Amino acid sequence: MIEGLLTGLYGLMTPMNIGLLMMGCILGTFIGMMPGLGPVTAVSLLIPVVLTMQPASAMVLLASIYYGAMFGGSTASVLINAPGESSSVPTTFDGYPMAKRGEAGRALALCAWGSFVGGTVATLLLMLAAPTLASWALTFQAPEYFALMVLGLTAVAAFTESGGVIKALLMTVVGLMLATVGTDVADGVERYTFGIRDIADGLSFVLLAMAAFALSEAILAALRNEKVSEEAKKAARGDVGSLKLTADDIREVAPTMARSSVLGFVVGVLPGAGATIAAFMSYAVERNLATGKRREEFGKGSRRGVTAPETANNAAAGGAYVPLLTLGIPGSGTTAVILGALVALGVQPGPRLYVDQSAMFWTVVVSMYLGNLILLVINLPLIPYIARTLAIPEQILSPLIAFFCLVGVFLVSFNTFDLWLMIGLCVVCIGLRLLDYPMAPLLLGFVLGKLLEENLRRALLVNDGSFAFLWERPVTALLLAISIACVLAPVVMKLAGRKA
Amino acid sequence: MTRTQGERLAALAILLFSLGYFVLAFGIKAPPSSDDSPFSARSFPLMLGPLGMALSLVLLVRPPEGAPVGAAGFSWGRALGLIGLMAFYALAINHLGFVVTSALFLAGGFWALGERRPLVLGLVALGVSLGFWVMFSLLDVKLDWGVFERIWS
Repeated sequence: MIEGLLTGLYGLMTPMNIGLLMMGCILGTFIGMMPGLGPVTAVSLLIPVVLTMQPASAMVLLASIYYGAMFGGSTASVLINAPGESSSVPTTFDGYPMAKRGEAGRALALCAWGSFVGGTVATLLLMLAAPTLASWALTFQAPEYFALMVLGLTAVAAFTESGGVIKALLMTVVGLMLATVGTDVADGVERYTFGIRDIADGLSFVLLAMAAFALSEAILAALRNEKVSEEAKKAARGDVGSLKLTADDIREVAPTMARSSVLGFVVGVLPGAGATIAAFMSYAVERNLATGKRREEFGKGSRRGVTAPETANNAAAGGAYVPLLTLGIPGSGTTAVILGALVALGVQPGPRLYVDQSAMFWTVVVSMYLGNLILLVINLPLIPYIARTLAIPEQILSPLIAFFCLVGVFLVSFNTFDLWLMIGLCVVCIGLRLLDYPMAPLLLGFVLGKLLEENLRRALLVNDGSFAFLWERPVTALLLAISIACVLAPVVMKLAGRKA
Repeated sequence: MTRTQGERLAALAILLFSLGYFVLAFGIKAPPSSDDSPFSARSFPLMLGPLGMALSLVLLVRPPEGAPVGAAGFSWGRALGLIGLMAFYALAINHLGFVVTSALFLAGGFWALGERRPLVLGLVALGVSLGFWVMFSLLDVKLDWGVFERIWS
């Protein structure tokens, strides 16, 4: 492990990687702060940029953008009661009341320290858990891989934040369908290309990610016509107060940070659960553990209430890297985008990644330690200045995001067909998003589609076309049983809720 | 449009999409070498098609209950304006070149969403476009000037 860390340190300590790390942290914070724009938008926007980089550098940038955006999400929650993304929603419960009573700086400092501790503990746990999980997964064969991917897809669908399970499963299937467009690798025949040469190699992941997240978000913002609130204007020009924590603050929140870090990491590791569930769960745990006066403070500006979700959502972001880097299974929309970028860079996801791309793995781990420190040391003092971006009017922001998407996609291929395809897909995605169809399962289905098909093909060829491997191999059967449980759980819970 | 109508329409559209996908799967020509294989290029699509149809049928028969789509507060003109400008971008970039097309797109986008300050419309739009052009030129990525390049030369 020491050797791995030294390898990672050596890999990270290039001017390029350090520059990317700092840029990612600052840019992530900046984008994450914008209401409505979360980590997935931030990461999607950067995909075209990373496609020209070495995989390790690309991962350093994407990872720092990811936790930078998680960090930035808390600022809008505290200052203007408008979370940048759903995992920062519980932060508003106590962060905004603290800001209203003139303690915005203190609340932001609690968020920053919570994010730092959560992110650092998660990186430590990732370092410990990943090798074990990867070595176990190296014994997997095609049937287990197939089952593992089914689990990843169903878990993300089951725990999706918007719409119902059926909609999420349907989006997963549509994503899988889109993944079949192009030339079939095994048989060499074209599928669903309609003779169009531009899609003979398949649909571009970049344009689908842009259409589903960043671009449709920009158009939806224009559609909603949200004005910059007075609070945002005030926060942008106002003083947030002292960013220092007292010894009493530290005593008060230290146990919360410890509990929320572990809880967030564990929830983050589970495919599909992700940062939002971790944030809400940790908030609920802290509220239930609190007694007397401390409990009454929840919802009115409790320091524990601010710290818990921010610690947990950053820990969950770290935890999500465990299945991503060891099994090749992303646990959320953001990690699905990161996985897609890895595939586009020619990196084969799965347990072999940890063995074959060991230097990359350790570089990312070390960058996470350093990145969390950068967020604390550099970004925290910059928050009052970065907060000024909250006042950027939507009429400026939306065209700029749309422009970044257009340029990003055009520069990958210099082909206007890709632009037309992205615009068309974006219009469809807007319609679906308005009806609460979740986009993360769509992208996950698209990213995992080819691998899922390939492993099913191999499993069937080895088993002479028999599907008996689904129940005859214990690990495969177990993984598929968990997948079925994931799909049925929300239905059962809903029925139980109705009876109650 | 009520929420239920919207849900039904979306489910119907995905049902038709899945049906079309399934029917077209039969047309995928697998090579003769895969005749005896239990899995060919059309196998996976033949599994996905019925799955998509079944799930969209469930949504079609039992659309989720919910509030009407909040279309009343939506500014459709702004969104359509921005989409129209994106189409303009795709049409114009090979003719007018990167800088001019980008500047026109940005200025048009700012204007369509309500910005009226000439300084923002002109300077920000042109500044961002030129900034990108300079940045990519430094990275050795050539973004041409379209028709203007031919005029100059």
